[in-house]
Amino acid sequence: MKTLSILLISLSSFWNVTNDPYRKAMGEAIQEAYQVHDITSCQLVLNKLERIANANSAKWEPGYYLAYSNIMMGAFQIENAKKDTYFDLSITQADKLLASNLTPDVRSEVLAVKGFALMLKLNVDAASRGSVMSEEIFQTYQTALHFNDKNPRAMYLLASMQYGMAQFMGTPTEQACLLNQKAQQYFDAELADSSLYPKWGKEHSMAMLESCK
Amino acid sequence: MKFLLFIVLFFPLTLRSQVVINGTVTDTKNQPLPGANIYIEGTYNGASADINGHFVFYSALDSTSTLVVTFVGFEQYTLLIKDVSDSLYVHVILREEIDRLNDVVISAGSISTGNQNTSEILEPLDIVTTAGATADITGALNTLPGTSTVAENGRLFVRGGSDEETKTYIDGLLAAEPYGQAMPGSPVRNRFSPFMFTGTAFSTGGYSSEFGNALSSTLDLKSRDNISMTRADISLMSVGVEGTYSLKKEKYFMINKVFYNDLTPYYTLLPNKNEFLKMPQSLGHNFFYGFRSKKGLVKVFSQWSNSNMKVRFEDYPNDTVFDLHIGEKYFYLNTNYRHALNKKWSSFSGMSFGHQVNKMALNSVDLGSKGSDIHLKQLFYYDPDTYNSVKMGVEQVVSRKDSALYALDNNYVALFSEWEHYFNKKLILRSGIRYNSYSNKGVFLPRISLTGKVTEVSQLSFSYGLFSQSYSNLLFEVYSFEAIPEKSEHLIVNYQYNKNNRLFRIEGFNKKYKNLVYRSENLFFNNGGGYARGFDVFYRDNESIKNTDFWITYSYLDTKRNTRFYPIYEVPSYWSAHKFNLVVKTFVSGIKTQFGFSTTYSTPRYFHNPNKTGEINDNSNAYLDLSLNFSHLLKPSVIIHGSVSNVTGRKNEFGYEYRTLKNTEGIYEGRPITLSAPRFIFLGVFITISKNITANQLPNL
Repeated sequence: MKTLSILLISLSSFWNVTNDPYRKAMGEAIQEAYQVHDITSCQLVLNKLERIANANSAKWEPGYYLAYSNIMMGAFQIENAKKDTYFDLSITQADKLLASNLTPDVRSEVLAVKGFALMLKLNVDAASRGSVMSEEIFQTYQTALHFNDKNPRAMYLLASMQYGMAQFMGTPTEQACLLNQKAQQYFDAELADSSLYPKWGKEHSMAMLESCK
Repeated sequence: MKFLLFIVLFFPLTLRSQVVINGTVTDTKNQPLPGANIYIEGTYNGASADINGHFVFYSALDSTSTLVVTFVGFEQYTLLIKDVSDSLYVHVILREEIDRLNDVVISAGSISTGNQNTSEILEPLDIVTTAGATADITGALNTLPGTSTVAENGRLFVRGGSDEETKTYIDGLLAAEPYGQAMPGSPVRNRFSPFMFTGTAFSTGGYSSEFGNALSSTLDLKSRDNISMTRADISLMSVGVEGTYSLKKEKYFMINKVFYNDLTPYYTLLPNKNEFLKMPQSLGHNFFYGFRSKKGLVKVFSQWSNSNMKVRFEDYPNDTVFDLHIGEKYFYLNTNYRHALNKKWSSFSGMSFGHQVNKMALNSVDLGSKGSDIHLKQLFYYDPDTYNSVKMGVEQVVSRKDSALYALDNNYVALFSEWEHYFNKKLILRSGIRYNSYSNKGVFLPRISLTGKVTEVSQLSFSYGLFSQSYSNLLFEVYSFEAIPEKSEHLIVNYQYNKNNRLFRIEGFNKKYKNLVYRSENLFFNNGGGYARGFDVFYRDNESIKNTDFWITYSYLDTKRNTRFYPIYEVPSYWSAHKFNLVVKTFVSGIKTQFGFSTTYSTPRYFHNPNKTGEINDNSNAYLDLSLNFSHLLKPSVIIHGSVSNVTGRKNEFGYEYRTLKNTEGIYEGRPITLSAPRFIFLGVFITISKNITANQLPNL
């Protein structure tokens, strides 16, 4: 009987790790979130994430990927007003998470995704929003790095802002490129495991490496 | 063994049977909503509506299961499923969600600035980058429709109303003395720095029931809710120095600003008509604090300043010369608390206090005065859904002015309520009532606005309302005259077209005055009247020319009234029939510099010439001003800013002044009223010190 109990407990733990409905659903949703290619596919992912978030209000991952996917949805839109709608949804989602208790690493990721949404919102009307919003974006990335100075996404995004500013000012882009190179090292160190932790951004960072050459 | 494991692990999942749930999601016009999200609350079970709005999915249900349907731009739909069989069909009709910032908004009489609303006319940055405005809030607003150019005065004159008919507020709380003091022949400036505010709500008429005791217009400055980072700013300017330290913490922020202005170097280098016995100097401090709790936001704003100057003043009418001392001590405190009581109710409690000591002296005769104003306000907001919003409140204003000769009180209590109702995303009604109780009379003031979208990018707006204002005067005390409140009636029709960063707006208005106080042969009357009617045209475009933003304003005004010292209907001395403005800003990226250009033209103003018969019987020349400015980004954190007003040095006339006695030839000699200096030149270097090396003061310039 004792053997049977041990066996049952062991099997039950194995079941939880490999077949936990939350991890399974989130894992699928994240893979889909990274592969969206148009408004329709993005909407399907957003809906799936919303359902998971609704059933798991204590988890941070659904809210985080909702913020991320709303950015993608905004990027696919053509009309500026609709872009703003989705970027604002992303910022609201991030702010909601930031108001909750998060580990420093997770807070760093949420700040990075918020900065990303702010950056794309600035681009909707760069002429009038540039001078007003850029300070907040820099600050958001810097705070993200304050909570985790090895966050490759925050690092790359900050580098891209610095790169754009340097180009605008006509000053050397060297510092921005060095920061992006550093971000690459941390991207490379990220494990290709099945965890729900964010893993996006490496391709964009690599594209920036090309621009820096 | 295998069987046992199967039972243990799968038993809970097989307990409830699966129900097929299908249906359609449409909007209120029966149009399908592809992409709508349909699910059972608390589960992963759900589906997305297809191109025809259809959906189907399976889920276990019980008597507590709730169906939820969501879609961006629509209100959430929920349905408690009571009767569960093996299948469920639902036709879900989603109602559009109102976006109060971006759907139809009331535009009649309303000119708001900020970066929240897509239909904003100006953005905060515009206040300080408009050439000729010299970073003065009022200066920038004077380039907008509905205002008259009274350049020797500098205050806001709106649609035939005098400057005292416009009231200034900060976060809805009175700032009774919004202008600093000026030397003879110079316009006043708004004493509040645009740096402290994120936007303004400037109403040229037909404004909300929340505001009262203003016959023509209100200007509500919106303070910041937050700041983005800790930083220090230093400004070195041709007129003085400023230092600002902004501290940002997770739950609160604080701004401290110290400014010292000294015009000694400026007037040593550049000529001025005034002979200074003491150059204009001022010292001041700004404090702003915000604290955010889970459900509320506390703000405290204060300003203190002390200024002095002394000039040899020529009293032309009496042909004498005085030593005129002009100075003031000013203190202003504004504190308010916004609080969410629950999901539908919220409140605003606020208090403002202003105290001004006017230190004016003529030779050694003290002509000083002091005044205090207190404003208390309590508001409640009720938002049952996105279609309805109710605001109700009570306020009290206590004002007193004292001098060696007189004491004037101007107090009132008011109750108000306002309801905003969206019939749909294209039609909004705002109706309100205000009861203003003055010391001797109470007045009911109904107001209504209706705005409807004509097309996706254009709208028609209509506004009507009654407004009141009490008038107190030193002479009332002398003659024991008690005036009942003066009243005005506004009717405004507005059409607005806004597409692709191009905004066109035309607005017609008809304002009638009654109960105006006027004096005739040492007797006071309270039955003066008048009218102001006309139209404004405004066009703004930052799309057609690359890196260039411009706006054009034309205003036509026809007005007459008998008030104050005019016992018969006359045009006011600040009136000009036609006004034209052109403001252009262009950014030259190659040299990282923004250039600004503005020009204002106003037709001649009228005045009384004692050498002719009648009251308002002569006119000055037309007003023309051409101003330039630039902002150059020297380094990411260093900006050089310069501006010149009236570049051509044109001698603009603002009426005439005459001797009180005739000369030997039997005429009253006169001379035009002009500014003490033909132009104003400003140069400044703005440095920002922060962890973020790219932060600068560009948003403040």
